[in-house]
Amino acid sequence: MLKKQYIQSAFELLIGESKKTFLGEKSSCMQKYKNSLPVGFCHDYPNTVSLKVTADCNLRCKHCYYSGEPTLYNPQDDFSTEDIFELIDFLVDDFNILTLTLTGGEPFLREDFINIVAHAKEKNLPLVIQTNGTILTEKDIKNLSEILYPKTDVIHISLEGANKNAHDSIRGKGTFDKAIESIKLLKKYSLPVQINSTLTSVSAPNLENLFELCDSLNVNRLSISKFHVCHENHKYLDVILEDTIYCAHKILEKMKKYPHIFAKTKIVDIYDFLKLDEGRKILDEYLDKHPKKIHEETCLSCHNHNKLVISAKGDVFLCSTYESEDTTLGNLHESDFYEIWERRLSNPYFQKRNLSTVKCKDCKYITLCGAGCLASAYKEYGDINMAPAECPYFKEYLRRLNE
Amino acid sequence: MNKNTVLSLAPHVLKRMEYSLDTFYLLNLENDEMWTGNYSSYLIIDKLNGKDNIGTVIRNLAEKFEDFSYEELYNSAKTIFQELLDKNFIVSD
Repeated sequence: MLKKQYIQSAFELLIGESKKTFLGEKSSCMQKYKNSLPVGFCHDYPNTVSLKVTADCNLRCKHCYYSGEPTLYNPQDDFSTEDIFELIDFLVDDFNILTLTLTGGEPFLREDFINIVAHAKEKNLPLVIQTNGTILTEKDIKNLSEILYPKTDVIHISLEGANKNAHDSIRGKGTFDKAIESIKLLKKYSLPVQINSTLTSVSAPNLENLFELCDSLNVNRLSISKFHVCHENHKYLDVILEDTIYCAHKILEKMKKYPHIFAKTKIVDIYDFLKLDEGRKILDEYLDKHPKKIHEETCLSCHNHNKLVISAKGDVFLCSTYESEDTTLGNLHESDFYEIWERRLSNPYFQKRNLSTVKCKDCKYITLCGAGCLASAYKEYGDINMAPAECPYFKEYLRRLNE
Repeated sequence: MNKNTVLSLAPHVLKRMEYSLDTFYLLNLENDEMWTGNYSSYLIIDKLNGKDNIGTVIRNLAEKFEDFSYEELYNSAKTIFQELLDKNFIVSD
């Protein structure tokens, strides 16, 4: 039986997130730009792009979405160096993007990776580099320290919780120690580091200890997100709702204890509370006290067309969660980028949605969920104007309608 | 500043054109200042490549915009350039 206090903490974590921005971002020019945009503004061109520079990886993590199909790790179709340079030039000069994430696979497997980073920095592009931290050498890190601009760039290292055995059981023996060693080296060269972690059945028991780990490593950015099961083999990593709520409670306690560590968490969502009687009471009490305003932090990146994901073999997506044949906008080796971008307007998953016409527009909780994920709604019901698959309230509504 | 001056964006300045808002943003990551203009200012500032001088940049634009003379474009652009120089969004080489 979950204590009300735990559910209350989890809700505090959810609502508190809407006020969060990363260190210093609140007064930054990026934030000024975002604040200047009208509510619900849909971009003509994306302002953030995630580029997978290689499909290859030195690890075979059990929770990787490639793990169901090992052939996906094949780097044969990776972009050439020249292709990537040209792509970066296009993204900056024509699309005017504001942030580029370089990821993989494992990006440091590319021998030209430092050159790619250098090319992006010649364009002054703020960078996020995502790595498992197991193959970085001191030479790589020294080179990065000469290229990166610490105020706007950050290196993300993935850890599966704070426990070595838990991490190694998912990512492989010895990987935890290597990742920690990389973090220490990055800090030695004064590079900004963020630790990324996911809540899984393996990481859950000690997840909150990440705060002590960050503190000891002098890392002041931490991101914890919910693990999304996308393959049969991953089901053992799923976390039951009660444990998720309890973890959220423990994490909130640590956030208060370590205020200098900026923790961004996405481990509970509005739908978790709708599944619990006590959760609904908390939501109702909150709605009674607060003016009705659509929750703007709901992920609607596809709806606002502000984000783009490019796979190592050139497939383009609007969303990293829904990468499949039916969600791709096209392939850069086959079509012109502008042509691919225009296809977003005909892809059924990512149409522009008007919140005043969604099927759940009269639901009192819409102010908190913003009608949720379009792609999830389309995948479940074949209609972006339905509620997302995760919404138990909408499922109840449909059941009552059919009775 | 004169027609022979060569200008370019300052280090750590990003440009972003939001076409449907007709708003051009310059974001200075160094001092966190933001400058906004319209599509016309984007057309001019986008051509500051650190190689061509102001005279060449304006002449190239004047060839595309038959409604405006070279001098008219130069006088409008000069005001914008001076403001952006003063606010450290662009630098002269």
